[in-house]
Amino acid sequence: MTTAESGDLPGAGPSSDAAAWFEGLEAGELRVQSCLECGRSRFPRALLCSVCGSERSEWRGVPAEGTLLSYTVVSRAPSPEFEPHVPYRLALVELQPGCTLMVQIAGAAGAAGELDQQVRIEPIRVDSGWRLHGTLIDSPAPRS
Amino acid sequence: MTVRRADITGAYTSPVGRRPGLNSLELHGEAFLGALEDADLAVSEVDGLITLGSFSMPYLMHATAIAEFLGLRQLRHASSMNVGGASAVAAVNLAAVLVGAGVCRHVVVLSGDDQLSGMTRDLALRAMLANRHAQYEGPYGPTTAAAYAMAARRYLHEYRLDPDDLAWPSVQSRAHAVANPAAMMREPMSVDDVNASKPIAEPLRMLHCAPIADGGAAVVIGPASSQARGGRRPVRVAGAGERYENAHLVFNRSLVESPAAAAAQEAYREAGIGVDQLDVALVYDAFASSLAATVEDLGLVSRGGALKAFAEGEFDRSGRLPVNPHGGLLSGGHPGYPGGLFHVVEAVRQIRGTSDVQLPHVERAVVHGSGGIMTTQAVMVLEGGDGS
Repeated sequence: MTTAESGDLPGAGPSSDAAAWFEGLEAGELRVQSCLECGRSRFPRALLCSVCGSERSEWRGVPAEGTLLSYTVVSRAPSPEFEPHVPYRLALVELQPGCTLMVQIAGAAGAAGELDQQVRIEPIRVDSGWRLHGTLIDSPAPRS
Repeated sequence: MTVRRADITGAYTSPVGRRPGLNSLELHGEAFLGALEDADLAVSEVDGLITLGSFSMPYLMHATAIAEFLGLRQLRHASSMNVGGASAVAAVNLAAVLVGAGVCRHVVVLSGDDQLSGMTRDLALRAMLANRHAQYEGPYGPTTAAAYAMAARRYLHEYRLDPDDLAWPSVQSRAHAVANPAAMMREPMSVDDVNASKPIAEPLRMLHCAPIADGGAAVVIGPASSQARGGRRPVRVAGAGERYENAHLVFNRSLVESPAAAAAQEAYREAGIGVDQLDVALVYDAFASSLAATVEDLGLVSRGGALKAFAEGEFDRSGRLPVNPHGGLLSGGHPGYPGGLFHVVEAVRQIRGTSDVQLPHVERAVVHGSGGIMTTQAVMVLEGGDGS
């Protein structure tokens, strides 16, 4: 999938509750919330740390690479804008524990990905905002 | 001990399937009258109403809109539960609190929807997109089935299970439905049939998914130990537990284990029972894979053991603990929000001894509902009274 093709798919624009995330994307970086009390990461944004309850957090850049938690192949588009793109591979990628992204993964929709394989995440600017593009990296991650 | 000093005194399910010519309001009306008749209760005695919303006619003030359609003017409580597939059980739990606390005397939990016949393309679309996060999920084109499919793949991976075995919960549901004249899907079905059905979102196929239907259901919750009207055995809300974590998949703490486990433990504790004292389990089953994961969360089988247990008949009506002896949503049909009430109604009937697919000696049932991507969870334990 080229960037131009991705441009046909929708993106998401900034909203005030997620400004730091989109500022990160503008700067070419994936940023997640880090709890200043217990140190745990979280994403998407939540006001309080769901583990220790602290309100104190900061946004930190993290490597744009995560673990393939799962994926599926969508054959029936949920709305007309996705119809030209079926079948497509939809995936959940864990950037850090507590930080999960949904992305589409490029490549043949039928190609099997191994769960826990590493996925590189690339933010792409499209007409309606930003979207994330996932690419499988060959070497599987060691199981933790 | 429990704040829920309340009985389920009326229970009704409408015919399920294709019901052209009846919209969501009328399906609410049909179920309301059916439950009142079953409870032998006059309309004037109803002072509480909890509805579950509607995909086809989504009113802003849903319970109040239903009350105006029914012609009720005496309600002390009207609210709409909004926790997805957990809504039905959560509403009954809340109704039992309202009655136990004396806020209301007779609360009707009511739902009806015409998702099969009444949905325009726009509405069906809205329903499909309803539960995806606009910024972090929407741009990637997920469907509800795709979300559950990703959970299913992780489940299979964690326990090193064969994807072909995901068919077993569907096959068990169908085996039960064959004997139930009210079930929507009654053709006998094999594992091969399931695995040859159309792929929806891998590893989920058509026959792993509950079929969309029209239908309605209602239950009446009244004061505990009220004399069983019409000679019905009283059915007590003995315990309840709920957990709510998140609405959208990207917030899930796990794709495999759900907060149903904590909700169930709380319900068993309040009822003062262990799982070995259950006679039947009514478990929310929009997908075969979520049914498998949930029977594990509820403690009915060990982690990773559900598919094997289904395959070996442990959850059959003649097995160790019957699960969804009426065929569940997987074969009974799934009209959306009313579907959660079907499990409640079947549990009531089993305890009364009046089910079309009656099991011998049912004293206690666990009833479960779940929404989000298994992240809103409501559980209750129902228990038979002595009938005196």
